[in-house]
Amino acid sequence: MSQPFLDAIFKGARFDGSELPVDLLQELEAYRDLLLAVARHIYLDQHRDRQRVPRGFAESLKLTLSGIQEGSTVAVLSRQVPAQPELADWGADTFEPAREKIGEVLAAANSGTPLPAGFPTEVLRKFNRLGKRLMDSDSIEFRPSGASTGPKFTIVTKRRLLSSLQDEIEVAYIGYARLAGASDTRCAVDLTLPSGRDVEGRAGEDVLDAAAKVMPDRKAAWLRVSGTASVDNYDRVMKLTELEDLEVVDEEYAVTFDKVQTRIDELATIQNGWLDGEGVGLVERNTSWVRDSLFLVIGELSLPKPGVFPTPEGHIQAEWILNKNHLTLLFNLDDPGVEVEVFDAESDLEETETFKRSEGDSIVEYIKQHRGGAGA
Amino acid sequence: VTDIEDQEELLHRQVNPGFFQDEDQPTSQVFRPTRKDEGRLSVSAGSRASAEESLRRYNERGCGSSCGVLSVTVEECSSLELAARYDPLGEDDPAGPDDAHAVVDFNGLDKSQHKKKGKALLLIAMNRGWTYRPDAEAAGA
Repeated sequence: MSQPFLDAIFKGARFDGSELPVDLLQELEAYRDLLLAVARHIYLDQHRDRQRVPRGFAESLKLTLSGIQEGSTVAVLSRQVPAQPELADWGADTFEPAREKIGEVLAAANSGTPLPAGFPTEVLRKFNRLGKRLMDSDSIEFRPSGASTGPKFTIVTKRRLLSSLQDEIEVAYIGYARLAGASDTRCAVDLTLPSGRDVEGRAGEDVLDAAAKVMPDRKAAWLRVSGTASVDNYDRVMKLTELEDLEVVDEEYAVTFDKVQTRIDELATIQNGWLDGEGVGLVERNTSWVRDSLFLVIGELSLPKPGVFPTPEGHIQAEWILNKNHLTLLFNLDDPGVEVEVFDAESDLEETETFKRSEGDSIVEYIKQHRGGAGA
Repeated sequence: VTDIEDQEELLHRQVNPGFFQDEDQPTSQVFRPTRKDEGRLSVSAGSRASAEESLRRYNERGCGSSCGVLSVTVEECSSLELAARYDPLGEDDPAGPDDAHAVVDFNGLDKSQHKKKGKALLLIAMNRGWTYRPDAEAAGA
């Protein structure tokens, strides 16, 4: 007999309506695996005389997607509850308590309070599989069936949960990089990010073929790449764990990227006093993340080459005049973050928002929503 | 310090090389007072010095370096609720006298207002085009 178990409520700009992009089914699969891991932990905690769970324990978790409903996008999960004799044999059901425990862990991470006592590290690591398909501005609410609310899971939640492990975490990734090589034997494409970091992208046959076609003539070509990335505690991309797609960017943007890169290099050389005696040099020499963010914004929004300037305080400001609007990205190098300002001269209105440096796709979404007539 | 009455009068603003990128891209920071300006954006009154003359004076007086001039009118400043005033500099000024010196008053505005008005002034000035660019003149010579 199947019973409602959980509503996974996807929220974000791409979840308007009642449709669920198929790649996000991976999130439900990751939740199922997490649920199983937590249930296993609960069972062994309740049966300390046992080394492992009973035979058939994993198979007894029969979770199905029984419907998609409106209200952002609600994936309704049902669970086929095992027959009573099995429950009697194993003791109390552990999957509903596991759902509650996951909720407690998420709530603790969201509120910045300690995780439930005794929650094991190896189970905590399972949260790394969750959220691999989420963009910065997306969230999933895991609402137990029948409840009016449930804990939310976002990329911020994930970072908080895993920060204590000092591990790299996996996140959805879209970015721009230069093609440096490709290897069939390693099943990998070698890329150089705008920041200068060389990374490997694990790729399937199709992507390797695509890279091989580009390689002979255009090694170092600028590419738009997407997939899943492993990032460290400083939000640096360490590798692309799944490089799912690559495409060569138009020559126009390749030229823009090169010019912007040169300009940022120039800014790194300015000296204190550059502004008629005022103005300090850049307060932080490591500006690699600025390139990553800036190229993402230019590429995803098809923007022309920006003006890139130092500020008197030692930060970097990128600007575009787009029709009668003015778009500014202020890269704060002290406390890494980006202030986005969209100014409409006709209405004299300005929208501003501040983002963390890792929130490149949120910046893109914000500009899309607020630029109005400021099209490229 | 007296208000400039001629609404059509151009106010010339010098552009620091750091605030200018190749081709034709200045930053809106050009039209924003810096800390030492104390809320008063320095400009040159067009009735007392042309754009070219204002740049020559600026660079010769040693108060900084300018790579070009962008200009707005008094009326354009007024439309943004910014007052423009003559503020001639005398012999006692560290850089020497300049009878064309004037200011656009940003006092009483917060930082976000400084930014917004700076952007609005840049858009107006860029719509007019550069009023003097030594490089462009040299290239055309």
